[in-house]
Amino acid sequence: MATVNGYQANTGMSATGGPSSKQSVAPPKTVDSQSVLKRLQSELMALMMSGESGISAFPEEDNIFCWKGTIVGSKETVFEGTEYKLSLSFPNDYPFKAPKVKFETSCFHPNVDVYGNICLDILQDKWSSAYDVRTILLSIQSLLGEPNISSPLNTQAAQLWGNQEEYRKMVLKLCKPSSA
Amino acid sequence: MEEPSPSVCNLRILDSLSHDSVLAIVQSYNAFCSIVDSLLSGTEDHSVAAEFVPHVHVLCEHGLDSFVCERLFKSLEEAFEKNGALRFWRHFDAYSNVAVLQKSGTHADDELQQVLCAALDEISLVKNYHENCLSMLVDALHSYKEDLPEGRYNLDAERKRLLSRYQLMVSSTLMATLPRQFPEILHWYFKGRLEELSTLMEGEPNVEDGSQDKDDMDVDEKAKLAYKNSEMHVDESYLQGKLTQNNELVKNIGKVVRSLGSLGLTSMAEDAYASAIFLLLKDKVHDLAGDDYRASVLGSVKGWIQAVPLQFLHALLAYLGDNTSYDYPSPGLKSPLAYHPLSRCDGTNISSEGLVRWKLRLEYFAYETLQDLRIAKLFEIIVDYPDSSPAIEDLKQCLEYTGQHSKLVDSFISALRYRLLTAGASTNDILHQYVSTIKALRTIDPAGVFLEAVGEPIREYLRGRKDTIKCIVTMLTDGTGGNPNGSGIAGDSLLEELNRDEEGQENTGADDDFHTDERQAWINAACWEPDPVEADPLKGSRNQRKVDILGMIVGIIGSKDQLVNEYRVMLAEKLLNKTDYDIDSEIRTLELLKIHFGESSMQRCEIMLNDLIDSKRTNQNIKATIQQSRTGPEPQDSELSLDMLNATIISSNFWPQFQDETLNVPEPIDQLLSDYAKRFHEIKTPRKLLWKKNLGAVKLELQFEDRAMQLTVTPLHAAIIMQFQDQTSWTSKKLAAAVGIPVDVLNRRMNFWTSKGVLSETLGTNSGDHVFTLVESVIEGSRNGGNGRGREDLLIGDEEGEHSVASVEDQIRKEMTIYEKFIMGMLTNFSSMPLDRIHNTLKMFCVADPTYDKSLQQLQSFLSGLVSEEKLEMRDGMYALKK
Amino acid sequence: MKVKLLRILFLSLCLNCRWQAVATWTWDAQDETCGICRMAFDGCCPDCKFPGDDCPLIWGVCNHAFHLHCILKWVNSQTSQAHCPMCRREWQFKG
Repeated sequence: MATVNGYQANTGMSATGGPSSKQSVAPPKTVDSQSVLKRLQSELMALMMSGESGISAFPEEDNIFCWKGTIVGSKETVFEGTEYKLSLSFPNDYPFKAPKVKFETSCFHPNVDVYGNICLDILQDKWSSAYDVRTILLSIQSLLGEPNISSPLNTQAAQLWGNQEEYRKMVLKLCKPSSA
Repeated sequence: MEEPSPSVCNLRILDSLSHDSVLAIVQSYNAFCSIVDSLLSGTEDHSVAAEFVPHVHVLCEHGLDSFVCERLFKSLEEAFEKNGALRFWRHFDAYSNVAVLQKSGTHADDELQQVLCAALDEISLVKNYHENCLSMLVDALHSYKEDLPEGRYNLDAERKRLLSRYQLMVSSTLMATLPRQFPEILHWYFKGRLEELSTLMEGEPNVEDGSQDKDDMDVDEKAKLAYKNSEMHVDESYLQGKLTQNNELVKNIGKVVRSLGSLGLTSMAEDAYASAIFLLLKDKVHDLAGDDYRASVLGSVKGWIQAVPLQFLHALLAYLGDNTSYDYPSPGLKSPLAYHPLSRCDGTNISSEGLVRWKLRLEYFAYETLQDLRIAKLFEIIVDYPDSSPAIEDLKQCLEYTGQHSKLVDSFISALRYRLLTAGASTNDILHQYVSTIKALRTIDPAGVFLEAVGEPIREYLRGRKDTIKCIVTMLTDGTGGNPNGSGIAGDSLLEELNRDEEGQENTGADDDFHTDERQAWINAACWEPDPVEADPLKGSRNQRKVDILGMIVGIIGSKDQLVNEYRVMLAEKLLNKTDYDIDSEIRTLELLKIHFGESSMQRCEIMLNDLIDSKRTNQNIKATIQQSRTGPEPQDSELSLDMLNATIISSNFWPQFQDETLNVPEPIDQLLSDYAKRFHEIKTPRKLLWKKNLGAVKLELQFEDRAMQLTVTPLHAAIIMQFQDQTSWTSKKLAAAVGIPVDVLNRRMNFWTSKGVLSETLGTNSGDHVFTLVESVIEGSRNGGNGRGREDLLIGDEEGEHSVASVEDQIRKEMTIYEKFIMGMLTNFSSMPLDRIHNTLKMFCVADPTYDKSLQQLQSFLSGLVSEEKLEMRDGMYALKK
Repeated sequence: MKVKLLRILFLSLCLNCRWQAVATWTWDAQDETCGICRMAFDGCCPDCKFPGDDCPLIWGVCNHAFHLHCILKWVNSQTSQAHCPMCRREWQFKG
């Protein structure tokens, strides 16, 4: 327990206008898996309690750093009603680094390659520590309906995208419906 | 019969007989018969021997010697039946109803003794006489055969053969005519004598306080001496001082035993005195043991065995010359000679071996008797624990000897069910008895195997009670809430005691191996799990385990998390009612709990205590700001100052949930609160305060014309009474509106003030409305009681049992919805899972508040519920989402 | 007369009482949880044991608040210019 009282801490803070005066801050380089664990646990709790429909995720049997996710295609998109499995793998310095997210079931989509890799900015350079499993899955869910055609990983899908009717047939051919 | 049949002989002889010979035979035979008859009828004495011999010789010459013997035996048998057995038994006719004996006391006892002795003397005389007659015949036969050239007749063998034949006849005659009550009469005789002996022995102070070794030595010495003087009679010279009288008595008893032995009743006599000894021993054990559990009795019982029955047996065996083998069946006795002091007499002394057998038999019997007594009273003994620890120690020794632990388990469990596990017993009492049971039985059963079996019914019962966890926490942490009969220093919590015990063990350094294990167990407390409750006492596999009292207490609940949670709720309640920030004892308790349950489990409690420490400091800082700003004129008397307000500022995330109740505090107080909050914000920006106006405690003093009351009440009660400042009478509706609470809550809370005699209650004009009026003087208020004392301190927390902190039950309801969501979540992503995997996954990931702590069975029934609600389906042992 | 007497009586009641009030403290922030560690502001960041003074909040010029310890970690983990995790504006501590 720090002995400085709130008053002093506060004035000290505003006087220097920056955190450099705070000597008690732990160096951020140290990987503290305990804090990652806490964050993932609280994410899991929040995700379970949110009752969001169409997206879900849960850690694998004994490893909270590896999750399995489920996305159901949004209504009024060609992916409507189809279910996709994903894997999420969290680094030791999560949430300061993005998790690795892949499709486990094949997904015919301009921004998803045959190995399930996803091209999504927030999973790469646009990552923010404020993102979480829920926002990632929601982003991927909306990516399904709104692909980035300009830089496709799957050119065939990108070309077909213009023909939504054919695309829908393709999706249904390749994917098991969520009720299966 | 090894002899050829006499009749066959006769026939052959008669064939070759001359007339003279026949005449001679007939003459001699007639003479022989008449002599025998007169001898046996007592009309002639042994002086007729001279006449008798020639007749025998004549008959022998004709080869009729066996015939002669048969004739004599036939007469002896008739004579013994008539003069011996019948007359002997007739002495005891008066005692056909033995029950009379038991009532009639010492007088009858003396009489019986005399009758028995007289009867034995008499029949012995008859028997001796008969034996002399037999001797005459033997002598006669002998004198005939000696003359024969081929004769090398074995006199001794023949005498022995005939005497033993006679002996057999005597005992079979007696047994055939034995009256039913005779064994009982013998029993009473010996019992009476032994009691006499016991009284004599106890009269001697030396016997009681002499050390056991010395006693052993005495017996030893005597045994040796006795052997030197063993033949036929007891030499008075070895009987020193105190023993003289006893030995006189023993001699008399010995005579009786011997007489009975000579009549072939040896085993009956032995049975009789053995049963008398055991009966006496049993009485003695009961007598010594009694209902006092504060002293060990095993020592004195053993001393008594040494002093009374063993001395008696020793003297008796010595008197009897120890020529009888006392080979009693003694089941289960291990080779006793190995360690016994009497073995110093080595193999040459047979009597010491007999004595050792006796000693072991008697001790086993004493152990078993004492054990049964103590087991029957084990419940009371444990209630008295630790004062009763001598009795427990005795019982432990007895059980080690007899190995009858299962008796203890069965008997104690049924006592528990009958005496303790009933609706009438308070949970506190049950818990205290449980702890005492653990403490007491771990002495007897350090491995805790039987304890497991005995504890289970208590645990099972306690699990069915709602207040169990609360009581456990109170018992563990609260020194004052403890049972007054409980052990330990007053004001001392069980936790303190356990800790002290542990430290004590540490200092003695005994049982190092166990101890390190145990230390390790404490250190690993974070991952502590209770032992499976179904531990079978018959499985000895866990012998090395040490009894862990706290573990067994936690075992009642099943998980330490629930215990910690309950403690947190209680701690919150306690802290919020404090008016002085004094938390020294709570800090001490927390430190102890951290040792036992691990630091991380107690983290939230630590933050709560820390909040109190911070509050005290912040409170001072805020008060300091008033000092600085108070430069103007002194505040008027009527103005309230911040001095009267102190605040407990809490980190709400780490405290249990509070019952959120609105409350309008009186305007001046409300202003103070705003002022306080403003000052807090000033010095703690960007933090601010949110008041929980219904929480806290108010110390107030009510002054009446003739009295003053000091009370500590809840803010609500304070707000209520302060409303009467402006208006001395309120209807409940208006008052409820004024303090900002529902009318029904108000009505319940008003009871506090009416029971104190401060307010009076009358029915209002509108139905259901109550009117409360301030009671102005003692006289008017006295009808409600609670007056007469000028000063009263009351704990907050009301009689309605309403608490400011949400109960554990509320939390359980919350838990179930969380588990359901987790289960749905995992099944969405893993399509189907078996029960145990769901269980493990919940254990793994459902770790936040509330942590998943259910058993597999509880989960299964929960899942079944979800299946029946058609949320889940189950196929081939796998659960899946119902689609 | 009676009423007057009682008024005086109760004024002294208020003056003489000692009120131990209970309050919760809270950070004066818009959100409830830290966007980085997901822990409540009124709790503490995963690296701290005690909330409050030990684990303070800090605001950026964009007015987003984080646990001081969390935002420092985020800022230091960025190779280039750090942004606010919430709004992507350049992160600057509010003076």
